[in-house]
Amino acid sequence: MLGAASACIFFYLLRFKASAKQTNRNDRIDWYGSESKRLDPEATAEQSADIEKPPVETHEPTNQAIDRAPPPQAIPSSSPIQATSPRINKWLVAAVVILVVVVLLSFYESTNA
Amino acid sequence: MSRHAALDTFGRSGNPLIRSNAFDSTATLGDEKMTLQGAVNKTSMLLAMTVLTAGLSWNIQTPTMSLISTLGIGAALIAAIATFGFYFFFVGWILKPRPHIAPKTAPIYALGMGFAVGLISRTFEAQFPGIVLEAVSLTFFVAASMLLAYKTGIIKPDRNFMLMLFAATMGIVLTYLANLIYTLVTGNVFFVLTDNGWMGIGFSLLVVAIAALNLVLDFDIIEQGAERGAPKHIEWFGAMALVMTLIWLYIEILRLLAKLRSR
Repeated sequence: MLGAASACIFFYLLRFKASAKQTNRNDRIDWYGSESKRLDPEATAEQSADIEKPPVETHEPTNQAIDRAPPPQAIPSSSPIQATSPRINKWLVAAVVILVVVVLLSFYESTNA
Repeated sequence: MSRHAALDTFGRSGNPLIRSNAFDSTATLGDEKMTLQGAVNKTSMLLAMTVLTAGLSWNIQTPTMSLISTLGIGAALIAAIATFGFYFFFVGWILKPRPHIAPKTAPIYALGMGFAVGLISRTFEAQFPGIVLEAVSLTFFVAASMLLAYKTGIIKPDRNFMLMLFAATMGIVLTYLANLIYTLVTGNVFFVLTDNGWMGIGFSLLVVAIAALNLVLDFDIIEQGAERGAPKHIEWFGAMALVMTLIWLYIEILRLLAKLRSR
């Protein structure tokens, strides 16, 4: 009864929107950054206002290949990121897979014991 | 690349977890938008799936079920990694988060983890009768309390809160990982994880507190997504994150109660 009541209370509360005190804050985590920028262009303008304006760069029409190049991928700023090669990532993925398999095997053995 | 362009591309923070476009890879202003009710319904569905398979693995104790459970847990782990990505220190994202696959992976995760929850619960219940019901009640009680604190604005998650929580969570993950390797090598476990003295109970309390605070971030993802009209698949993503944290919280509460009872 207690468990069911707690679950009901939880799901009942989940349906309500958060208070304005929670939602109207400037220091909220921006989970959907670009989404909010697209929805609220004024916010984008405010955000970019304090960013130093770069010197105007002109592109020659011959640089079409550069213009068509895909935008750079967002990467974390961890320092050795430049040294990270696909090979290292493959090894790490392999290590994780081996770890998962070992865990599953030990789990299987323990449940059968 | 100029400084301006760099900031525009990567956001103001270099930390990948707090970059403003964490879910931007597939976020589009489509026709269907996420709603709070939708996320609540999906959370209920996922929890029902978890309870269903937990019930199966609790009641049926055969080698076949053991094999199915193992495969289910493996599938759940793969589904979780595929959706939330895999981040490694000093290397970055080995697998990037892909929220758009959550509608497919969330049910796999819920069903698969149900087997684990069932087996773990059965083991604890055999040792300490009645402990599962206590743990379930406490889990929802803690979740409801955190939800109330979040909705009313008592707890206000910001970037610093998220960073501290991330560091603490990673610390726990590394502790468990180190314990796993230690167990595989020596056959023993870390004293602090099984100790029923004040040290062990204190550690368990700390882990429960961190798991409970992680719920706040899940609530924030769901709330903000609904508020800003995020794509429909974020409903599944948010629900999956919430269920994942609830399962973690439940298992930690179970361990804490077991330690307290065994004193």
